[in-house]
Amino acid sequence: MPRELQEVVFVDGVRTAFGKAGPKGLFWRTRADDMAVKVVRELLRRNPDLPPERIGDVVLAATAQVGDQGLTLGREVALLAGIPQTVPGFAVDRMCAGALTALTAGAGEIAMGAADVVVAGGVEHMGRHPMGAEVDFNPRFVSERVIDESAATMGATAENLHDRFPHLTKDAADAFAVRSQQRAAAAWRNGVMRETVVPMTVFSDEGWRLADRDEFLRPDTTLDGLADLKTPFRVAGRVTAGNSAGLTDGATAGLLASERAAADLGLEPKLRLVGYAYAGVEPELMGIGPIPATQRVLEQAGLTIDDVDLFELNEPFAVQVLTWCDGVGVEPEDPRLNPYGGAIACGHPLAATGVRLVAQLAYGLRERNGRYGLTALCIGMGMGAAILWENLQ
Amino acid sequence: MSAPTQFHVQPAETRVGRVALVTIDNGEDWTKPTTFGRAAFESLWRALERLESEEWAGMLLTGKPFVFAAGADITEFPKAVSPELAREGSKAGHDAFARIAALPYPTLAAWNGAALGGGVEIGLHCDLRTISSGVRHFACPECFLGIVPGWGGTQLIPRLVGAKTAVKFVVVNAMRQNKMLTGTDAYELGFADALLAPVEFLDESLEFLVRHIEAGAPAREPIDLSETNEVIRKARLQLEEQLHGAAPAPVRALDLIEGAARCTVEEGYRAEEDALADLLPGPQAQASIYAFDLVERRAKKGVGIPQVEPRRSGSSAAA
Repeated sequence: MPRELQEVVFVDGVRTAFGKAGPKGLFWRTRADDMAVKVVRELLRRNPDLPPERIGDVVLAATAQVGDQGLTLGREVALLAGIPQTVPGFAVDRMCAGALTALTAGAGEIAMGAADVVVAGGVEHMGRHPMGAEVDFNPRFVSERVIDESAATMGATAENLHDRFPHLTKDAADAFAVRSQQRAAAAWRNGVMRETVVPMTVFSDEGWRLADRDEFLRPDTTLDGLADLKTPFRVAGRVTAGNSAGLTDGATAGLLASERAAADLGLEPKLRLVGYAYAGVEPELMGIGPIPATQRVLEQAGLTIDDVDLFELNEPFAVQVLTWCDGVGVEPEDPRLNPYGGAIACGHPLAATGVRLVAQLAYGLRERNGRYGLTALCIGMGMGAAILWENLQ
Repeated sequence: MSAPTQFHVQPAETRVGRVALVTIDNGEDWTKPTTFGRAAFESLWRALERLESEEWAGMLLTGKPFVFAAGADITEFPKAVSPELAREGSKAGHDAFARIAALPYPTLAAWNGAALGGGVEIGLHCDLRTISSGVRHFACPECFLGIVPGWGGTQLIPRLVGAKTAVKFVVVNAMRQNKMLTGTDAYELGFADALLAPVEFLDESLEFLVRHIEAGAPAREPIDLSETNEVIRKARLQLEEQLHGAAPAPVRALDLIEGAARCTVEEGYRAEEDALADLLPGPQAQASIYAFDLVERRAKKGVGIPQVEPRRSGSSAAA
């Protein structure tokens, strides 16, 4: 029987506020799976036309797949969220691109006709699961020089970017960080965060609190203030806490559907998935990953970078975004790039970030009446991810 | 010995303004329920000062995960309690809880977990109540312990759910081996304005309060207490058949509920204080509380067992 490929649309995306990892953070006493349950339920509440039993799969990402993130998350969270038992689920991991990979895995199921509707997202409780803490690093990586030792420490890979591209200075990185904070502060005053962030009550040692705002926001950040911060990854280095994303707790969930199912169910799609690409690069320069991924996805679609109206890039390190700007030919100040600030201001809960980017992209394309948008992230162990979207709003 | 209970106040920004989230917490997990002792009241007074002096749009009162509050801390009851001390203990609760009732903005008690005795009574002093369908322990066990609810229970329960349900809840259930209600039962009997699933219980409770504030807080219809005398008359007969005058506490509780139909809340508070001054020093209450402590605390702790972890034996086990 001839197979008919389905168009995939993004219907909606929500996230929790992002908290600082660690005992002083908002989510320290909240379980990761409970955070994921919250965003999945919010997604269903916001889309009441979707009968939960119509969900074909629940795909959730986490980098640390242990403990409260360990019970094949998609299935676990679906059950805890009250989705019917007939709906399956699974967990994926591609580190920082976890949620993007959940989206593309779900999109694959939809395109193949295996599912009509997919919930995809991610969660990372970096307070409970510090990056790499539960990893047993194979000694062959170092003894046989499979990768450079610095590839295991994300901050060190960012220092490597400064080495490789010396014209991308610390000053440029700091300036980018200040802009990220300013844009995020403005975004919290307009509607994008109200539309994409769901407040959640969380228990703490000082009683229940409302987690309704990102904890990393520092709207008063100045260049002078960033100049003298410590460089934890190298003596006299360039990467500081001010020009990188902090360790973060957060969860996201997005809703994908086939174009046909969305129409049948009366869902209002925001974006159409045009194409996606993953690419591998030198692990010790993992930050350049989004460059080949971006080029590849544009090539697939027959577009150039100038055809894209909006970019939502992750910002694990300011220098990482600068290398992408350099590599694809976009100015770091370009208003099309991260108009609502980025991870430097809001935090980066590894496997959760992807859906935040897509949800904000959807809002931004609608606000600007743009056509194409790109979401991209770099990925630990030397990879990049890029998804190209078309605005349907 | 649990850590002292605290009343934490946290501001939450909502559509209607700043709402106070107040948490009753003893810093322990659910195996050590939160109770109200002297330190708890001192903390409540501090919380009330904030709640009374600052600008709030509303207040939501709840407990730590799985537990709302389990009432008075009976480990603080002295071995020989005088009538004056009993009266003081009752009055301390009345005074503090009355200040909650007097707060000039809408208040909501979110019964998220076990609520017993004082845990029920403090919630009665709020304007609204939500209860989790996950609650398994909701009761006023005082009559079971030879005393009566002494922090407003006998006065506010009939005003909230009517005399018939109040008698069942305060007297009949307590005398039936301390039968407790589930959250669903409590909601169906009218104790709560909303029954919410545990999964997002507090988020939805906060939303319930915010919507109530947005809607302009319509007052609850006063309950009809005209049949109280008849209800109490029947209850007295049944109780007499069951006890043959052997226990004074449940009879006293019926007196108090009967009084609720004709006196003010203030007068009712004083009557509760009188009842506790009479009952708590008495032999039945003392014996009951001793027995309850023995069964609920000492026996579970394993009296006489040293507090050390068993050591692993060295190598292989001996056959």
